[in-house]
Amino acid sequence: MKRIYMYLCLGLFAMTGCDRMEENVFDETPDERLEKTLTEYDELLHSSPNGWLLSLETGVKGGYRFWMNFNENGRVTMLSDLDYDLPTDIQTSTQPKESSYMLKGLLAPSLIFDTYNYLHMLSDPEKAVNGASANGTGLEGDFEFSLIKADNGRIYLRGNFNGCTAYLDPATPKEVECITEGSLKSVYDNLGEYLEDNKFPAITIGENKLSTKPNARKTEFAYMNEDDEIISMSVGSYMDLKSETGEKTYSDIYFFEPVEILGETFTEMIWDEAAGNYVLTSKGKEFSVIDNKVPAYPLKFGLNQTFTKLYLEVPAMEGTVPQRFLDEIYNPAANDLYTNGSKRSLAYIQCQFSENATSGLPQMELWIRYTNTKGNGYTAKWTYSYEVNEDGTITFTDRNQTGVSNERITEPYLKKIVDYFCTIEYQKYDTSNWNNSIKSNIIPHTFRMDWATNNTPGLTGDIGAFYPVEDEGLYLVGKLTAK
Amino acid sequence: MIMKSLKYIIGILMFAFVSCSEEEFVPNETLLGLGGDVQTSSEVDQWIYENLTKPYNIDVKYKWDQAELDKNKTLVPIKEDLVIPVMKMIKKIWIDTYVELAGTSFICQLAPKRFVLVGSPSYNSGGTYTAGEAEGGRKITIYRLNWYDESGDKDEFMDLVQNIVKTVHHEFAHIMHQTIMYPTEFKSITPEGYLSAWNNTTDAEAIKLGFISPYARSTPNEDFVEMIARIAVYGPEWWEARVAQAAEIYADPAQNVGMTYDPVEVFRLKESYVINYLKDVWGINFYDQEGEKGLVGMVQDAIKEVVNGSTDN
Repeated sequence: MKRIYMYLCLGLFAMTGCDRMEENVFDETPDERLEKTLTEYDELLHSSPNGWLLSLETGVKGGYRFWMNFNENGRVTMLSDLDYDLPTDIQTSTQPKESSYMLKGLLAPSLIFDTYNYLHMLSDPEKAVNGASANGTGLEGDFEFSLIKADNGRIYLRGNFNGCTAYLDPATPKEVECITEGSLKSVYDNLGEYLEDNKFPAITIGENKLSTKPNARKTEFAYMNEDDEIISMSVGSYMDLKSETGEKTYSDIYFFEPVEILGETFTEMIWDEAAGNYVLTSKGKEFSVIDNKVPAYPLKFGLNQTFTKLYLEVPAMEGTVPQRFLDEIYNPAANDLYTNGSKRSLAYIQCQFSENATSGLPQMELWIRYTNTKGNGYTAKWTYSYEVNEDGTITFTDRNQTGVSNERITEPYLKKIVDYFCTIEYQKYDTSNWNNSIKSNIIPHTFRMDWATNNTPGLTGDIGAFYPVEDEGLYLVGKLTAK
Repeated sequence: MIMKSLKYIIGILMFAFVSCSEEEFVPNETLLGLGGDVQTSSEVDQWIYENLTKPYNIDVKYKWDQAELDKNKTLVPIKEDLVIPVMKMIKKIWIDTYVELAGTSFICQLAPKRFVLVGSPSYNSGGTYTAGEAEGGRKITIYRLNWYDESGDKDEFMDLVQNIVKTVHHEFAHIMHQTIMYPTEFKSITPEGYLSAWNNTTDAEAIKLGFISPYARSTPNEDFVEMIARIAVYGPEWWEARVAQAAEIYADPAQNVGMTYDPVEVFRLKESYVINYLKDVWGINFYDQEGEKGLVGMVQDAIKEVVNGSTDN
């Protein structure tokens, strides 16, 4: 009997287990719901009469924009801002290109651009196509996207392969009008004008000056923390077309991810027409972007610093080199060298901090490059010992020649430049062997090293200078490099 | 008695449950995605259907489908306007030659069922790239097709065309011997030469050992199909130059140290196996015979026509 009850119980269990009357949570099956979602998205893609603007953040370079028009036969027409910085001459912003697309249920409802178009150039693993640094993974773009949600007119996408963030926003009639004339690319000219006029845009957060620079596909932030370290971060960003449609002087800039820096959170840079500057907003507070003229953080120039070299090629820095330096130092030396030194022409000056190979002591090397009438060049070199003072200024205490014969011959002609850092008077100047020369007087000079203003159109890079503390206006300016 | 009736009751209960559950089991009528993706038929699709699918049962997948490809590789689709030129070229140099030599049903029966076309090369970690792949005689994937430029540099175009059709002929030869095997004696011509680490072999080393290419060293099957594909695609002159190089190496005291056999003899023997296999098993002449074009001659003519500008047939 016991066993029978056991069978009975088992039988009853089996029956309850097989009850198939469970109710569906949704009214429709998963397939029906997927089908419905895809249809809804397809209708949505066709609902914008002026097409869509796709903003996409690639893994490598940052923000890209495309204009896309979806038509009824699974075809899509595109324009793109790719040709702003493409290694080839494909006119992506003016030559519309058609390809196919498909909506398909993969792991999520997905929008797939399934034949080659401008969008695929970002993903192309061949570096020749998009200027990636190596063959293999391209700029880490995407052309197959999960449809995340549609909200307030915007469709949110996520790349299925590289996970790129992307949005589709309906284009306005005005935008399309400009886009067909190449605005996706020419909007960057506008940004270029802004950066020409505002070389070092910055905001101030509390005590800190924060460099806030909108570049073409990324916006970069940098400041110096209390340990004198430069903290920098960059975020993929894109611009709208307001500067092209005529709504604003400069386009508004949007970040793909919120930027958290110095306790604030920023998501966009909005051009304030009335104030004439960009404004960032965090927690209801506004921060105006003002041109700082020089970098927003102190210059670190010297041995083992951020910058170790300063390079001056006068013709390339016209307008930035002070006239007094040219009149009193550079030109007299250049003329003397030409007149008395067999028509040698001065090419450039370079100052670099290093360690003396034998003594290990810090030194500043002065290189002066000149060419003879045959076009052959020579770099004459002098080294200066120096001391760093408590206030951060630097004093050059002595000077020696390092070269073979050129320095010995040309030093008298280039005296204005070599004496600029530390003046040497000789009791005897031996033109056959400099080591036999006898110094009678050494006059050290002290300098403050700081950023300098870039006044040369088209000149880019970090500009710094040696400011003589006795006469700051007679500063030697140049381009700073790391090594 | 009670025991028995109880057992019956249990039995009946079980039956009731079984039949009831069957009634409930109604398959879903709207399973999405079964039967393939619904797509609007374009000019390209029409061409593929008319020229490859209908006559030869071959499908060409040129639209992006990640499921067909390696998920660890960054790849992009082929440019749409290259699909027809590429497939016309493949049809002319591969299908048309075999159809003429062995008939339509031969191709229908043996041809790989799917071509997957990819625009970019498939880069490997060392900077090299994969040009083509095949899966069990059913699917051939061809990469870097966006390089296909009929109006570009003739030599580069020739290289690319030869490279593409070499892959196709190679894979097709595999299908032939997988259907009817070549004589096993072929495997014992150069048994010591086969090497799984074939990729460190240079061209010259392969020739010295009696192999038409470094890859031919990997297995006897690869050896066999490389012989067919390379001679057909690169032509008799190229092949004879290779044999001549083997003769030179064997005769040169500076190079023939340790050689135990004459690579020329080996090459000629392998060649004869290929000729006899194609003739005896499939009735195909490998070389031209009595004024009639063989496989090699026809492939060579077709390549020349393609490279010199006409892919129409």
